[in-house]
Amino acid sequence: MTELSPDILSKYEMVIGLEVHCQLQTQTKIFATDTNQFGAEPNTNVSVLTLAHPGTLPKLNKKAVEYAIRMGLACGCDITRHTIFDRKNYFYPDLPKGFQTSQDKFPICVGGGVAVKFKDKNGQTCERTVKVHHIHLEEDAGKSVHDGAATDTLLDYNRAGTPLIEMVSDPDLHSAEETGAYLTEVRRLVRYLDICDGNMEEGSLRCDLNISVRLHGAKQLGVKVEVKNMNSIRNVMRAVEVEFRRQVEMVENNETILMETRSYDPETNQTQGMRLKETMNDYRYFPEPDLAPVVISDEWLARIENEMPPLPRQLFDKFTNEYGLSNNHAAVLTDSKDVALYFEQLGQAVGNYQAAANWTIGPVKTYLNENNDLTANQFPVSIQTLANLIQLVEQNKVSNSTATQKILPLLLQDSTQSPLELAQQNNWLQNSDAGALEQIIDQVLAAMPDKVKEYQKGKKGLMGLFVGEIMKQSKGSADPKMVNQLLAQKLG
Amino acid sequence: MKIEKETLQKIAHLARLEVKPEEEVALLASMESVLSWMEQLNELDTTNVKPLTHIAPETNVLRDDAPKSQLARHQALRNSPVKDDTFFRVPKVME
Repeated sequence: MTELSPDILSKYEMVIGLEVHCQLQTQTKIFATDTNQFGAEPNTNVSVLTLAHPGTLPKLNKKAVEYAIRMGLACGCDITRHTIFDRKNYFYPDLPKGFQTSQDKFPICVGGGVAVKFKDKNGQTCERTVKVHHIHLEEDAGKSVHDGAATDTLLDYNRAGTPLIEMVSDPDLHSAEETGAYLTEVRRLVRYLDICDGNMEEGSLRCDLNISVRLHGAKQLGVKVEVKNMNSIRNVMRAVEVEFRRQVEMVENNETILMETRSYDPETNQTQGMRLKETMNDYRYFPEPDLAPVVISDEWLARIENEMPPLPRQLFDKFTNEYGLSNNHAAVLTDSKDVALYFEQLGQAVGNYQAAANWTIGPVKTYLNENNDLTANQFPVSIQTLANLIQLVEQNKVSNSTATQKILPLLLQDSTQSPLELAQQNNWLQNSDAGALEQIIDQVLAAMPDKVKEYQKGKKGLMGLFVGEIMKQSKGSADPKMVNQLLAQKLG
Repeated sequence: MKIEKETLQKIAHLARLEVKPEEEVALLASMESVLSWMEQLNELDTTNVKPLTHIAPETNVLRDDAPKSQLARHQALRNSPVKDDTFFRVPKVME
């Protein structure tokens, strides 16, 4: 590929729509009672319905419907009160029925949007709401293994019938950064809602890209190309960039862009044509006669709404308004749900949310990151024990550095120990008894009258010397904060 | 209603049916008669009629999310014409 100059690239606008598939973490499949589980032995989670044996009838999993509605509510969609399923007809061996049960005319959620915040290429922070076209329910297909045998394709139907929501955005995204932010936010939402684990490597969250280019200001959209097979958010962003360049180059060379499906190869960082996209009509959608319509009453909808786990923006508001945290701290804490909930529990146990925030963002998150990205509820020290330690600091019984650098490491080795006992055993308790401390300070100052005079004449740098001597005399047990206070009084 | 030969072949392809040239005339006549008969429905004014998707009146036929009745693998594979101990096998499909 020849290098396109930034001048040429900047003449064009990319128009991107995303189709995000999320596997719902229900116990069973969407229309059958076989187990929905990733990583099982091939063809062990199958039933007669999944294999499309004659005479079998689908029956809808109520939880799948409720999970889809949760996502719709989180994105401010209109919930379709009378919804049906449709058959999407095509022949492919990963679908034994010869059609995929999906939704066409009446998807369960319509409209809405996802608020995103991202830095653009110039480092400017942008905030906007990306429009969602609709969210529909459908079943996943089985898995084809092409390289298992020379002449055959091998089929594993464990995944067939796994409930999916497909979330279709409007063609409302215009950069790789914005696309990455949208996908990151969708993943965060499904995780907060407990409806999907959002694991792109295992394929529980998958994303197809629809991308076209046009000159800035042009009204008409360019020819849309679909790009598949990106198994990370980073690869989605790379695919956006590389496909944009490919299309701009074709337009510049007066070549015709084909409406097609292309596959992204992370090794070469290129897209490769797959097959010419058939026209939509060929799917011959029609209402699935074997599934009765689903009517969502006010009562049902209200119940689903009441059972919704808290959303990141709700927790953000609570953390800033009720607990008085800074926007920055609240954003870090609500980045993932496990950390947010951990912080809340810790704050409650300590009785001081600011201290709990500092500890969660500091030592706790550092430990989680350094240990294979553990989730917060896997932190080895219990919330109560950690709260006890934080309280020792708050009460000036141990210094912050003793707590984080000496006591916490011991607790991480053996979480059954008590922070107070550890401090006592190791002589780490600070001397914050003002009377005893004053005595030491008086002795120290009396021992160096010259230095005291120099200090009073303006040589303020001597403060360090006094503090150091006092700490030495107290064998490190003095509370430095209190030493400074008392010294300032005495020298003042 | 007139049907073109290409339309017939396209529909046959979508259903993965092979239509031999000597069968085309009879099939075209048959399809045309069915479609002409159905075309009478177009005479009805359906402007204010909601689409009817299901005949039966019931709604919300739902089940709880509880696993049961799945097949052992050897049972699942039993009726497959080509298989091994683990997988169903089909002629190679590559995109």
